[in-house]
Amino acid sequence: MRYSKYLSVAKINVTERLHHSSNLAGRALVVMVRIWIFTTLYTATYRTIHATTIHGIDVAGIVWMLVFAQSFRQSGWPNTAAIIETEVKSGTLAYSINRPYSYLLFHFWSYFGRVGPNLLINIGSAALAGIIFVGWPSISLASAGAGLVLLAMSFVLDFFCAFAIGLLAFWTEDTSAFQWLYFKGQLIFGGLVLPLALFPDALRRVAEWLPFPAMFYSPARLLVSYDGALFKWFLLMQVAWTSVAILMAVFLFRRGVRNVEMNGG
Amino acid sequence: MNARIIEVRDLRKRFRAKQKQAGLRGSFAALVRPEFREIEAVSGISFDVNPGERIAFIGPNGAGKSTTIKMLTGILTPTSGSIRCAGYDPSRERKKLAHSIGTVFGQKSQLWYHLPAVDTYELFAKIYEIPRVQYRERLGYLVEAFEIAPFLATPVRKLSLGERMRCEIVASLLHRPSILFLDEPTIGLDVVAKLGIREVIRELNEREGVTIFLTSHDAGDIESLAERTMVVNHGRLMFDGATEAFRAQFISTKTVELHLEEDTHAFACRVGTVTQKSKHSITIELAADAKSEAIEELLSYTVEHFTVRDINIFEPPMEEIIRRMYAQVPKWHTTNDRSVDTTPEPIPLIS
Repeated sequence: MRYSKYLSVAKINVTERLHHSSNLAGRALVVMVRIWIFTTLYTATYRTIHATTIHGIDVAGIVWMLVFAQSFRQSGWPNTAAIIETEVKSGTLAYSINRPYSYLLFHFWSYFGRVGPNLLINIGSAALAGIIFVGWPSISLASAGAGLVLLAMSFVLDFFCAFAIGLLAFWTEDTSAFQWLYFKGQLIFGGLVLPLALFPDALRRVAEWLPFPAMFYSPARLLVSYDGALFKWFLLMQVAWTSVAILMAVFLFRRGVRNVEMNGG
Repeated sequence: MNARIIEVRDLRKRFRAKQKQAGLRGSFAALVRPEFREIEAVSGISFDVNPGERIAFIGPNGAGKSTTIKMLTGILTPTSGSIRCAGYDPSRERKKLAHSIGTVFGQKSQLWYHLPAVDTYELFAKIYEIPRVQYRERLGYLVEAFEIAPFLATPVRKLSLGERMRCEIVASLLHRPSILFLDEPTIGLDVVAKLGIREVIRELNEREGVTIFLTSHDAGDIESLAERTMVVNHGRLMFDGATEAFRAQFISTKTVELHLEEDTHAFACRVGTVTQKSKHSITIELAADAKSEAIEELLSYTVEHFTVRDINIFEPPMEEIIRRMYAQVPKWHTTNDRSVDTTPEPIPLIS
C-alpha cells in the first residue's frame, strides 16, 4: 500500500497524457519529419564521399540509431526541469511537501507515467518512418535485451539530471540557461543528430566520459548492433552518472526545502 | 487525551528579505554585496483551539494569516515558539500530520486540471492509503453532501469556480481529517456558490465534528461560518473571542430607516445624525452605545408627527465592522516596512 501510491501517480500521468492525444500526435509527426531529414542528409553525405560505411556503420544503421535516440529523447516531454522550476517559483512545491508522499518519488513516477504513452507513440511513428525510408532494422535478442536495460537506466539518469536542474530555481530564479546547456549537451554529445560512432576519435574519447552519450544514445547504439564491451562501458557510465545525479538531486532538494521552510513558499 | 486540537504558544516567524536599491547601480551593488533585512511576519501569537470549533482567522493583507496557517500545516518552520496540531509538531511530523488535516487554498488547486475530479480522488485515496471500501463509502457520502455528482466526470478545467471549489473541498476531506484549513475558500465565487460552500462546511462541522480553521476577507464567511473570530495584524493577535462579541465590541452605530407617508422635509427630530433623506424615507445613524431612550425618543417623535409605513433597524454589516476595526489600528507603511516598529498597542483580548 505504501509504495503502490507511486504506481497510482504514474497511472494518473498516463491518463493525463492520453488526454493530450493531439499533442502526442503532433510530436510524433515532428519525429517522423526529422527522420526524413536525417535520411536525406546522411544519404547525400555518404554519396558525396562515395562510401557505403563510415566506421562500420551504413546509412540504415545511422538512421535507425536516430530513430531510437530521437523517439527516446522526445518521450520525456513535458520537460521535468521546467515542471520543477515552475513548482519552485509558483510555491506549489511548498504545498506538496506536507502531503504524505516523497516529492522526489512523486515526480520520478510522474516522469515514467508520461514516458509510457509518449514512448509508444514516438517509437511507433519513428519506426514507421525508418521502415519506409531505409527498411527494417536487424535487431538481435542480445541487442534488444541490452538496449532495454540501457533505455530504462537512461530515463532514470535523464530524470535526475532534469530534476536537479529544475531545483536550481531555488537559487537562480530562472533555470533556462542550465536547461539550454543540458539540451544542447544532449543534442551534440547525446547522438540526437550525429551518432558518437561518427565523431573523430579524439573527440569521441572525450565525449564518452560525459553523461550525455549514456542517456539516449547508448540504448539506440546497442539496439542497432550489439557490442558486449560497449554495453558494459555504457552501463558503467550510466551507473556512475546516475549516482552523481541522484546525489545532486537529493542534496539540492534538501537545501531547497530548508529554504522553503525557513523563508516561505 | 488532550482536549485541545491546536495549541500555539508564542509563535514567531522571521524572514530574511533581500534588499536592492533602485536602478542599474543598485542591481550591481546587490550582486556584489547583497543586503538582507529581517521581517517579522508573526510576532508571538498564542491560542488554543478545541475540537469541533469553527474559527475565522482574519486580518488585512500582510497581517501574518497565511504565514500562521503555513506553520500550522507544516509548510513553514517557526522561528520560535511551539505548535501542536492534532497531536503533532507540524514542522517535525509533517507527513503524519497530513493524515489528520485537510487543506484548501483558494488560489492553489490540488485537482488535476485536465482530468475529471474523480481521477484526483482515486489518486488521493492511494496517497492517503485509504482502504478501497472506506474510500468508496466516503466518496459516496461527500458526493451527495456537496452535490457534485453531475460534474464528477467533467474535466476540472470545464467546471465553474464554485463547482471546482466544491470538488477541491471534497478532495481535502476524503481521508477524514479532524481539522480542515480553508484559506480564502470563497474567493471569486458568486453569492449562490458562496452560500452553497458555507452550508456544506457548516454541515460537515455539525455532522462530523471537523474543526474548521478559516481565513477569509469575506464578512459573510465569518458571520455564517465562524463561532469564534481571531484577528491578526502586524503578526500579533489583536482579538480572540466569540464572533458575536467581536461584532458587539466593534459595532459603534445602529442605523434606523424610516419610511413615512408624509414628506420628510418637516422631520425635525434632533436625535442621531441624518445620513440619507428622500421624499418619504429618512436614514438616521445612532451611536450603538447610546441609551435606549435615544431610540425611544426617535420613534416617539416619528409616530407622533408622521404616519409610519415601515421601520427598519440595522447593525452595520461585518465588512463595516472589520473596516472600523482596521481603522482603529494606526496605518502601517507597507508590508516591507514591518521591520520598522510601528506596531500599535493591541486591542485588549476579550476571550
